Amino acid sequence: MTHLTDELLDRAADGDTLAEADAEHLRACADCQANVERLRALRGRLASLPQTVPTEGDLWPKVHGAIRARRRRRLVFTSSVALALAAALLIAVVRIGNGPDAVPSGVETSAELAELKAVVPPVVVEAMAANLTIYDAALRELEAFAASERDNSDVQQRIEELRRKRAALLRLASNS
Amino acid sequence: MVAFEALYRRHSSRVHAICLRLTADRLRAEEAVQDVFVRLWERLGSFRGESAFSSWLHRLAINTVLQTMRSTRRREARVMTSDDAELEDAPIRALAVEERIDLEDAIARLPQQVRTVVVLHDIEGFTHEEIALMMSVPPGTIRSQLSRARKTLSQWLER
Repeated sequence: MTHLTDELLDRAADGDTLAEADAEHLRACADCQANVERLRALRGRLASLPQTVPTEGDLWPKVHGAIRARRRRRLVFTSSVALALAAALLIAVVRIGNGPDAVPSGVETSAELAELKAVVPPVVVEAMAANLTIYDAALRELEAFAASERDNSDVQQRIEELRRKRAALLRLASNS
Repeated sequence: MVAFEALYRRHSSRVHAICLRLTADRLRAEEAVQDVFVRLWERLGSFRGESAFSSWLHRLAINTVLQTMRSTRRREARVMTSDDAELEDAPIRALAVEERIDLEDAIARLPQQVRTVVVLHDIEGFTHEEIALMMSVPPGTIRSQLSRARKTLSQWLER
C-alpha cells in the first residue's frame, strides 16, 4: 500500500480538502491517520507556545539611547538644511532685490517683515518671509528638543548659532 | 518619550518572542528588538489605523528580522543563486541518540529558512501566501518547507 506523502499528511493536518483518492486512503489507513494526529498534536503545541518572552535585562536604556542618537542626527540635518536653504534664498534675494514684482497677498506680516517692507523691494520681503519660516521651524524643533535635553550644551549652542545667523540674514536683507 | 517608553514596556516582550524565535539567538534577538523600536519611533506617524496597532507592530518586527537575515545572508553566502536553492539545500542536523530537547530548543535547531516558515505559520498564524510574500519565494516552497520542518520536529520530539 502506498501511504500519503508528507505534504499530503500536512494538508490533512491543516484541514485542507484532499483529492478523493487520498481522502479515501486516509479513511482506511491507520498509519496515515496516526501521522495526521501526530502532526495535529505538534501544531497544537506550537500554537500554544507563550506569546511573550521577556528580555533578560531591560533594553529600554539602549532603545532610548539609539532613538536619541537618531534625533540628534536628524536635528543636525534639519538645521543644516535650513541654513543651506536660507543661504540659497539669500543669494536669490541679493540677485533679484531690485526687481519690480509686487508682494503677493497672504505674505506674513510680522513686525520684522513690516520693518523690512519700509526699506526693501517687495520681492525681497517675500524671499525673507520664506527664509524666516525655515529658520523658525528649525528653531522650534531645536527648542523642543532642548526642553527634553536640559543638560545638552550642544543643542543650546546650535540654537544660539541659528539665532545669530537669522539676525545676520535680517541685517543683510535690510541693506540689500 | 514617556509615552513611547510606556508603548515599549507594553509590547517589548511580545516583540522579543517573535525576534527570539526567528533568530534563535539571544543577542541577535535583543539587537532586533532595539531595531524594531527605533523603526517604530520613526514610523509611528505612518500608522493609519487600518489594522490593530499590535498586528502592525508584529509585522514591523518580522520585516525587520527578515531584512536583517537577508542582508546577513547576502554577505555570508554570495555563492547561492536563488532563495529556492537555499531553502531546499539547508541541512538539518541529526540529533545524537541520547539527545532530548524541548519544543523551543527544537525550533531553534532548525535551519534558518525552515525555522522562519514554521514560526510564521504555526506560531504566528500567517498563511502560506502571506509568508511567501514576506520571504519572496513561491507558496509551494513554503508548503514543502513547512512539511519538512514539522516532520523533523516530530522526529526530534518523539525521542
